[in-house]
Amino acid sequence: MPAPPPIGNRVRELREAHGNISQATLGDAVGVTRHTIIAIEQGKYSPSLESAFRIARFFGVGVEDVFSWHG
Amino acid sequence: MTISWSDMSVREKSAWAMGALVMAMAAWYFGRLGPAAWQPGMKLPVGTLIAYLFLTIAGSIAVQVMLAIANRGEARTLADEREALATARAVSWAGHLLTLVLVGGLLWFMAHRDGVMLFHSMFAGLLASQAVVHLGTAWLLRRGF
Repeated sequence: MPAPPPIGNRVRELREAHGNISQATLGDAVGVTRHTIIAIEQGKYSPSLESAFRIARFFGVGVEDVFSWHG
Repeated sequence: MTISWSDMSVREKSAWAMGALVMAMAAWYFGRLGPAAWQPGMKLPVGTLIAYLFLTIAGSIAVQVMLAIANRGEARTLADEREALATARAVSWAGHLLTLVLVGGLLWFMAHRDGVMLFHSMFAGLLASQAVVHLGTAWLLRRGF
């Protein structure tokens, strides 16, 4: 297994805090599949800058409130 | 890395299924050819090639139709950024492999003037690169990157 990218995220936590929105709903809003949201939550994929902004905007927070750098 | 059919996206399912089809058809083709077909001066197996092409096209259509029926909504959507990136990386690997096989085959031809070996190595390279595209995509989607 490769080392996961040094980027953490609170996507799952924010989803649950916003009425337990489904991964599919978030994926539809962001323009990615449910499986990509799952991969992001599991730290298996770092989204593009555009998708990161879309996720942050969906939750009404800043990008740095969703994603953090652990390098 | 766990592999569960039910939690895969339709593109990952397609990549695994097409990879398996390419590998199975390659095994069938080279198994049918036999070792004698690789000797210099042998005729090219035109009938086997046509059968291979027909079966591969029919198999690919069958796989895609079955996946589309089983995943109606998802099958209509375009690949998203993660799926497109995984495919792009796998295509890049396949391109490197194909280049390697092409150069190897041409060097062999220059040294031995053996067109039969050149043909078979080119065909094997094409099949291997197709397998790398599909299985590489599936592996990246499953493992993460």
